[in-house]
Amino acid sequence: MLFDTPAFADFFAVFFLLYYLARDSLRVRNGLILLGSAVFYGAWSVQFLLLLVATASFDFFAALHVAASNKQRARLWTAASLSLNLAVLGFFKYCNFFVDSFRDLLALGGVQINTATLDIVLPVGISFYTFQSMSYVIDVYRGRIAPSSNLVEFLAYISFFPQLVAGPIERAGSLLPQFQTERPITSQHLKDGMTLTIVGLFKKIVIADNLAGFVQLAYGNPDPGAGLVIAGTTAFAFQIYCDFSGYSDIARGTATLLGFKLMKNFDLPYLAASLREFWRRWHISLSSWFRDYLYVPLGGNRRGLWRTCSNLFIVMLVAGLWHGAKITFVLWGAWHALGLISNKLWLVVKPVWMRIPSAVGWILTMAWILYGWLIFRASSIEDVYRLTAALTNFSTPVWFHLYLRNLAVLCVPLLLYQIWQRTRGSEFPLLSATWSRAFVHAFLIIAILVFGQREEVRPFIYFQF
Amino acid sequence: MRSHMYHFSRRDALRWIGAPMMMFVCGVAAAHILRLGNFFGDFQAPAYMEDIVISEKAGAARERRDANLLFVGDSSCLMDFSARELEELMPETKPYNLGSLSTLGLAKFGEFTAAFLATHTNVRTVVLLISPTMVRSGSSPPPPPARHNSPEEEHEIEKFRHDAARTETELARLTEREAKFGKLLALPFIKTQLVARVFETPYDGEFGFTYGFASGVREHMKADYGSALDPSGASGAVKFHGIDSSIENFVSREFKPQCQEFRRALPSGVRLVVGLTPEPTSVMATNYPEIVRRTLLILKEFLRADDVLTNLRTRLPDQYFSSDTHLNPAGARQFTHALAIALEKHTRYAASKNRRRSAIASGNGPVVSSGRDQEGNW
Repeated sequence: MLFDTPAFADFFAVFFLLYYLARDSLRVRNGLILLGSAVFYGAWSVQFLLLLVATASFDFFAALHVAASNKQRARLWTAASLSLNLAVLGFFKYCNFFVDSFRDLLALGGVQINTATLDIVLPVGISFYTFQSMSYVIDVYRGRIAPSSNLVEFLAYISFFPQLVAGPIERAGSLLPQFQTERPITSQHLKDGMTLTIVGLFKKIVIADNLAGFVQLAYGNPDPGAGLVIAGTTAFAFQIYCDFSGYSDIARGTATLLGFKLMKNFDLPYLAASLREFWRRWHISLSSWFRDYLYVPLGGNRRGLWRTCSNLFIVMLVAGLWHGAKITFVLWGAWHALGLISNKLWLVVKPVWMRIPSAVGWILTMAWILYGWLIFRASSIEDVYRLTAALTNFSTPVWFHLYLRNLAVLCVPLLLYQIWQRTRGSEFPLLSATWSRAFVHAFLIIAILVFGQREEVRPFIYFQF
Repeated sequence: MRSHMYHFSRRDALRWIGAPMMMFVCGVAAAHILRLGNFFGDFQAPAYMEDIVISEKAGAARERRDANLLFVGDSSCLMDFSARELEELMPETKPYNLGSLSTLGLAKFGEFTAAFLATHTNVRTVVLLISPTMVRSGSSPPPPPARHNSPEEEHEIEKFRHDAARTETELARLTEREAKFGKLLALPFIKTQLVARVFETPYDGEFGFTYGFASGVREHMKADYGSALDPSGASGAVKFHGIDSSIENFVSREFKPQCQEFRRALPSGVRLVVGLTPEPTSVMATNYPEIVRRTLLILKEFLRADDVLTNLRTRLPDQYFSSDTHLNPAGARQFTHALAIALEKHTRYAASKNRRRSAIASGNGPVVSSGRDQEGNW
């Protein structure tokens, strides 16, 4: 069930009504959320729903054992839980990748082996709920949170449908208590929930889905030229941002309407003046997950410059691999690792008196990010070479002016609005007064409906991760 | 324990939900008023290739004031040669390609031609260039209505029919509920009349790589004096099926009245030359050139044509085709050169031999360089 389809609107309307009726009982509410989430996820696949329930249940009991055991046994239970989660993730997501990579590696050494590629379907959202579940067990092990003693409550937390398939990856310390206490729903919740949901749908249906054609035109072009590659990559940067942040906005919006508070997953990432800042603003729930559960345990920046750099490299490589079993994702991670390490080294060697104007920093950062998106979007290493080589070809197609004009219609207003958001320090400037908010809501809804009547519904990009 | 509390009044809820709803209703009402009042004239969202071709050809009377050679015909005429390249090969000519779609029929071609000739008094020769498929099928449109409309009115009726058919197809893809919902909210109007003025989505695939956008098709046709390209088979691998090309199955009986109607639309004093566009080599019988020759003679009679292009290539290798009837860009280049050679004999315009030689030397020229092609037919 996709957020941007009438099926979800119908589902949410019914759910919202039942949720309202269940306001008198916390237990019924959590049961209802679990049931709703099961319907939401089961619409894709009942088998994968059972997988989710099985792994989450194991983590639930593992966490109880972790909390009740001595240090050594707790470590064992934690290791068992992490192993199970990583094994499930590894099987569904990386099995073919590693088998193929192993075969290719042997082929380099002149050894030819035949490997059968398994026909494995990736369960939707597995990377998100697995990470959420793992962080729960680790936090219990670290003594940061107490384990939940209620399976329904825990399963409702893991499978909470607004954020189940593409995040934000919520920490138990932040979201789980919200299932345990009474939640007031104020008019502010209503306003913010509506606004976030509408803005998210607008970003997805109107901007991201329309940009998909622009991206395909550039990346599928057999002879694109530098102009088209740059413009197409810019289109992809906006497409993936609007697609993913749109999903996060809808997740936050629907959760807010139910009285829950989810973390902000994107904070104007394309206005970042450095790569470090970009990673503090892009997919915040994942980057902070990697920081807390991988970078810091590896030693973070506490063990000298070179260790910091190697830790950064490992974390970014894993972050790349998290996106999928594809060499271009690993390369993308390595590219960002290189950028972050350069950034780090520059801060060390830079003379104290030297200040880089933020505009220059922004241009350099954007150039780095855009080339990163080129690697990310390319279908293979050969495609990366082809598109990179195209950057030295300055010819443009005759219709390039039309491409730029239409691209600008979609992207420039968004960019200007984000600059305004940053200047005002508000997520929704213009939307404080009743009538201005009403006007903007109505405008966005009409645009969503106009573009929402389409022949093909494009799934969210991050569903594949 | 209570689950959640709703800490807002009904008034709050009304304010935050009712106000946007009111604005929404106002917006939809405004769209309906604009639609009913026809405040935006006849602007058509340039979405489909067919729409663009029809509207461009309908407005062609404003194009290329100095034209002296007019091509008219079906989509093979539209896409199988470049009018601009033809002008380079035949510098004395100022060609304009009024080729459109076979579904419009010869009678409509005649109306387009008459409208064009009314504003282009330099045109002395009209070349009717159609695909053998159109001749075979007759491609008979419904008979014209009894009431005599002006060409502009007819064009609008045709466009309406076309749009209506398309809308039905589009609606079929949506559920009935969605379609009704869309109409109620004036969504099609907003999309095609308001949004389309400031934004258009690109084409997919090879059409996208060639034209980019619907406006790109328009711009291409303007730049190429009415000609377009069919890039769909540029990558090759088009499979053709053999057809019965015996003469009995070649000229449709329904074609004669259409030919007569076309002829009636042409003013006197204008030479009419008729030609057929080429077919893929693999699907045609070996006696096909002879069949074409005989067909052209029949067409000459039906159309009371002044001349027929019997020396035009009848077949081209399969790799030059993007579909059964359309040449791909490489094929169009070949056929343009072949057309220049053929026209040299049948019109008063001479092809530039130097340019033609240099084109042939550079590999852009036709497979043959004389009136007789490799198949040995004229």
